[in-house]
This record gives sequence, C-alpha cells and structure tokens, in this order.
Amino acid sequence: MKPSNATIGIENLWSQYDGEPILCGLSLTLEPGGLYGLVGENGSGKTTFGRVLQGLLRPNKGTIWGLGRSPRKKLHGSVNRQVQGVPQHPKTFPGLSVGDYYRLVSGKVPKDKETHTPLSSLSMSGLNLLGIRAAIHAGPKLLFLDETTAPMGPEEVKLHYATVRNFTDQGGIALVVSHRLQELIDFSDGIFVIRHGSLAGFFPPGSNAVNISHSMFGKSNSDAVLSPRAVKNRIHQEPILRVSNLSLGTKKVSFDLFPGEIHCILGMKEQGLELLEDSLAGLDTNGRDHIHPPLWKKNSGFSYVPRDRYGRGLFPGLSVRENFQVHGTPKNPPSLPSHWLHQPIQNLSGGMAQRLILDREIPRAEHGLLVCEPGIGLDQTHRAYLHQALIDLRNEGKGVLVLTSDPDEALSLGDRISVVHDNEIVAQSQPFEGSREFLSDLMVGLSNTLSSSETGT
Amino acid sequence: MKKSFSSILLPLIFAFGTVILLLILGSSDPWASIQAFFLGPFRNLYFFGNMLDSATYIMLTGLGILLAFKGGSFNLGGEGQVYTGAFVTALFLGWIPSATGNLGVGLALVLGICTGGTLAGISALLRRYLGVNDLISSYLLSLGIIPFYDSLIAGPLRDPSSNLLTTPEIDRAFWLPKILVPSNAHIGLFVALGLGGFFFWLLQGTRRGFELRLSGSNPLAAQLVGVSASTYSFVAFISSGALHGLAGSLAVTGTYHAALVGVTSGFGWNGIAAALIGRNHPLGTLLGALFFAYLQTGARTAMIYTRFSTELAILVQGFVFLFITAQVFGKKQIRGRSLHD
Repeated sequence: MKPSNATIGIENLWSQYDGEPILCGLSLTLEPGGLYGLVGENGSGKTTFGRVLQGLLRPNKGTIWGLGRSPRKKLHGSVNRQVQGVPQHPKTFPGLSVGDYYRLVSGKVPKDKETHTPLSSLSMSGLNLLGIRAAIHAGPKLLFLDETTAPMGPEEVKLHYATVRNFTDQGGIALVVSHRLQELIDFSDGIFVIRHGSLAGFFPPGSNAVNISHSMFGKSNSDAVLSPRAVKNRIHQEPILRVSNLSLGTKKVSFDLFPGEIHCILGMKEQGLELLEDSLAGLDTNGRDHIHPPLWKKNSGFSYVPRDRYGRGLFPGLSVRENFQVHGTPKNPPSLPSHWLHQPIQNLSGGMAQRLILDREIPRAEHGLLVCEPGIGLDQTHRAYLHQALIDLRNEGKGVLVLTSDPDEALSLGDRISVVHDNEIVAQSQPFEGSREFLSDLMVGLSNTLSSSETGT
Repeated sequence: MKKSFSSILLPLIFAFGTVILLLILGSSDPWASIQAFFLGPFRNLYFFGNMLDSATYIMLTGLGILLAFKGGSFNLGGEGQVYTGAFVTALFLGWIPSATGNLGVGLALVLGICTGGTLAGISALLRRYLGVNDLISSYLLSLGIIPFYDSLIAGPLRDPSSNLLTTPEIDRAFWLPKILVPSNAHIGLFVALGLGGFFFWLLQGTRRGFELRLSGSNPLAAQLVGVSASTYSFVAFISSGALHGLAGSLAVTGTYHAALVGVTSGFGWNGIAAALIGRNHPLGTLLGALFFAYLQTGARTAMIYTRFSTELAILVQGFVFLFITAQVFGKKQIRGRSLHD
C-alpha cells in the first residue's frame, strides 16, 4: 500500500483509563512527509495517544481525520492497519526468526534480508530497529515509535532516524516519542509537547531545548515557597544505605542514604528509574552485591513501597484487612473505617490503596523506607497524607529513599536530589531557588555541562 | 449478600431450569421424572446414603482442587490421581494378609495418599524446575495413565470370576465400616468432613495458610514480603494430588472393594465444580460437593423411575458445570490495574 498524500488531523481527543482522564482534548495536525517528535513527562498521555491512534483503545470523544477507510470517518476501536506502532520493548517470542517477525508484523517477508537470524541473537537496539523496519514494510501511513531509541547508542540513534527519514521521504508520517530532547531537536521536523493530556506546545526545528523542557513540565509556583531545608550535619554519621557501582543497563550508579534525610532520585522511568527500583527490591539478582544492606531481606530494617501498587504490593482476592496483615501484625489499618476491612482489596481506590501500603510498611521501616513513584494517581488529600507520612519518618531520624519522575514531588520532599538520566546519575543537589527548571532540564538530558552544587558522590 | 446471590444462586436457578426443561423434553412422563429427580435422593435411606457416598469423594477431590487453587495453580489431573490411589490400594490390599486388618487399611490409605501425591508431584517438579505449565502437564499425565490402569485391570490383573472389568475383591477385613445401611455410605464421609474443617482452620486461621493464600494471590508481591511463593505452590500442588489419592483409596476400601475400570466415575472433574460452586472456600466446597452429589443421585433416580437415558443425566451435570464456570470465569475476576503513561 502506498501512503497517500493526506494530512492526519486529531481533533479534541478525550480518553480516560480507570475513571481518570488521560487525554483531555488533544488536538494536533500531522503533515505528510513529517517526522515529528512527541514529548511529555511520565503520565502525560503519550502512550495512550499511541494506543488510540493504533485503534487499540477507543477514545471517549474526539475525531481522527485521514486514517479511516474514508477520510471523514471516525476511528472506532478496531486495529488500524494504516498506523504501525513500535513499542520500546517489541514483544518477541522464543524461537522466532527475523523472517517470522516480518511475517507477523507486515504479512510478508522481504526477499533481500537475512531472514533466518533468530530474534534471540539481536540486541535490544537491533530488535527495535527490526521492529521499525518491519513496521515500515507493512506500508503504514503513520509510524508511532514509543521510546525506540531508549536502548541505543549515538551511532544507532543516527541509523534509527535515517531509517525513519527514509520512510517519511516517501510521504509517510512518523511520530517519535523520546525523552532525549536533543536527538529530536537534531533529527525531527518539529516537536509536539503533551502536558496533562492536551497539547502544550509545538516547537519547530531549531527551538531552544530549555524552552521545550519548560513546556513539558510546566511552570510551577512551588519554587517561590521553597525554603531551604535543614540538612543534619552528616559528618559523624554513617550512611544507612550504600549503593556502589550498581549496573543500570550499560552504565553504573552509586549513591547513599543517611539517617534523617529524604533522598529523592529523580528521573524518567525509562531512563533508569525502573531498573533501579527492580535492583533495590532485589528482583534483579545481578545487582544484589552492590547494595548494602540488602533491602529485600526481612531483617534489613528497610521496607518497600513499590511503584506498581496492585502488581507488587497488594493481593487481589484477599480482604483489605488481610492485605494489611501480610507481615503478620494482627492489627487493623488505622486510616480506614471498619466497614472497609472485609471488602476485597480491589474495591479500594488508588489513593486508599497507597495509604494502606504506607500504613503497612512505615511501621516496619526500622532504618529506612524505599518509596517508588509514591504520588502517581493520588489526589491532593492523599498526596498531602503521603508527604506528611514521609516527612514524619524523616523527622524520626529514619532514611527515606524516594524514586520519582515528578520534579515537584522531588522538590517538595527531598533534602537531597539526585537526577538520573540515561541510566546514570547526572547531578546531585539540594533544592534551591529556581531549581525546578534546572532539574527538569537534567531529566531530559540537557544542562549536562552545568555544574551543580554537589556533583557526584 | 446481594453479590453472592447473583454469583451462586443465579447459575443454580439456570441449572435447575435446564434440568426441568431436559426432563420435560426427554421423558414420557415429565412430572414423574421431575419428582424423581428432585425428591429421589431423599426417598429412602439407600439413595440418601449413596448421595452422601458420592459426596464423600467429591468433597475430597474438591478440597484438593481448592488447595491447588489457593497456591495459584490448577490441578487438572484429578482423575488420574484418584485412579492411582484406587489402583495401588486394591493391589496392596490384595497382596497383604487379611490378618493385618485395620493396620493394613491404614497402610493402604497412606499408600494411596503418597501415590496420588507423587503423580501430582511430577507436575509440581516440572513446573518448579523447568517452568512447565502444571495445568497442562497434570492433565496429560492423567490422560496417559488412565488407559494404563484400564489395560492392567482388564488384562493381567483381572478377576477371572467376575463379569466386570475389575481386580479381585479385597478381603472383608479391609472394608471400612458402613453407615446408613443398605447404602454405600461409609465412615470415609467423616474423614472428608473433618478434612474440610481442617483446611478451613489451616487457610483462615493459621499463618501458614495465610502465606499460602498470599502466594496464590500474587506470587511477586508475596516474594517481596518474604514469602516463598514457589515453595507454597509446590507443596499445595502435591497435597492436592494426595487428597485425590486418598479419595481413590477410600473408594476401594469403602465403596467398591476392588479397582474397577472407571472406578473414578468423574470424581476428579466434579471436584472442580464443587470447588467453584463453593467459591473457593473449604466449607463452601463441602456444600458444593453435596450439591453435585445430589444432582448425580437425582439423575440416577430419574433414570430408574422414568426411562431417562444416561446421556441426559450426563447432560444435566454438564449444564450445571457450564453455568457455574461461566459465572466464575466469565466476569472479570481481578480488576487489572496498572499505571501507564
């Protein structure tokens, strides 16, 4: 199928997930031959937008022009062959070859390719490139690439964009999600910024990266009220947690946690934050020798509040009360009315579930607490409760390690903030006036050269 | 309570409606057959006792299914495990001298438990060390081993004096004491009821049982709170097989007194239905087993009183099973939630 020369229009797109609005009136226009960047902080709606475009998710409202069978037809929740999506980690099946993969994605196998190579022999980057080539081979009108450059080095990134450019030069449209702003500035025809589910801005080629970053994270008035927080004199104290040369992808990180501090590690989840959580939780066994004490052991004096509350922290089918008592404490959750106790846990809202986990894990935090993305999906009340609970714990002299992708959360909580980008710690600082912009730039790989107040460990 | 109404009573109402419809369509005297079906099991001590006898085995297999469920896996090899327990018990009791009496029966029951557990243990080991899906492996093992016993019983081990395809009858010294004579019911019923109570206590009242439920509910989260989910699931699966083996052993010592071809009469499958009707609760499973035994006996009495064909009796059970599983698996059981961008 040859891509036709038509514009794709997205008008007032709304979509909600589990009752929470993800896309809130998103509108944008894609011109044929365009290679566009799509950026936004975690949770801004990028992936959901991709799913809607691919027809995997039905929008609650809104119109997409130029992708239906007739251009004026609404898109209705069936897989759209004119859009090919490539996820950050393309799904593979053991035993498949490159040829099989092409057949799976596009229904046909190119003749000139080395098609007998097993997929298992490809690197992550190689797999992503194959995903893109196979998607292009299927002859779509629109290519949606979700963080496909994440595992790639500089040379592979060039190859990646050359491949995509080759597709757009023939009239196709590509939308590339990435958390590395500079590559989009270098290779794209313009960058869309999504914030809270709607378009926050469009930046033509040559735009200033700092402006894009500010558009992604928004301006916040929290900077004005930031007060310098007293950090206890650490000279005579030993850290309660030491992480040394822990591998994240191809890079290594080292950091520590002292008693009586909240240390926030700020970064995009794809840029190393997720890998770090798995290592600290003991799920990645390779990292175990680099973390002291082993947080995942029962007697380590640390407890863990995971990012994925339902997948890692709670037990479906068991009651609220039973979920509270998993550590063997015969108590009832303090913050819930008694009629909740015998309800199945899945009846709790996200905020209540988070509160239950906090109430369960905090008393076990003898030395410290590991908390991952604690504020995700919480409303103001629950967020305030959460922050107060963590601050109280700090004031009791315990250490709190927060992994977060939300600069505001890091700023309002952290006594010390380390920024992770591309699987390494790029800066470490204490909160200061105007640090919000500084931190969010670091998260997307900008301002590497700026010196921070306390770079490195 | 509203919830349990729709999830238990509704499928039962549908099931009974279907039964009535089938009886109307499938017999020459609908009213008599409906009466026979619903009241037959209570008509005399014989039918009532036989209902309790069937219930005994379904209770045990149902508890076995429940245990595997709680550990997060599905034991589909129940039939083979019941058969194994029965076969080994019949051979063992045919071989040892009758003077051993109760000791011999005790040993035979232990042997049934162990061999049933061993058969399930193969699947549990395959899952633990090679990652083989235990639902499939237990089903296939059972599927393979049943014809093996069938051929031995019909061939070299057959009792030449019997018209049936069966091993020789075990000595009277090994027969379990009967209750509700002249029916088949025996003291094994109390064993099943006692085990139901035991598992209720274990699962709801002890730390071990709680950790088993944590492991089955969310293995990853269990691991993160320091509970070895794989070990619990492993032990639960083997225990599931052991309960099935016990059911087979009791069937020989209590009811049939020999290993017949097809001695399991579907207990392995009906146990799944009982556990599902019982909403995965040990006491519920006992009730579910009673209900299923009631259906079986009802179909049997209807068959006698009205020329109700055997196929229709199986059909009735099939429909009930269908409605109940549709109810349990048809709706989204766990509200899948994940955070995404």
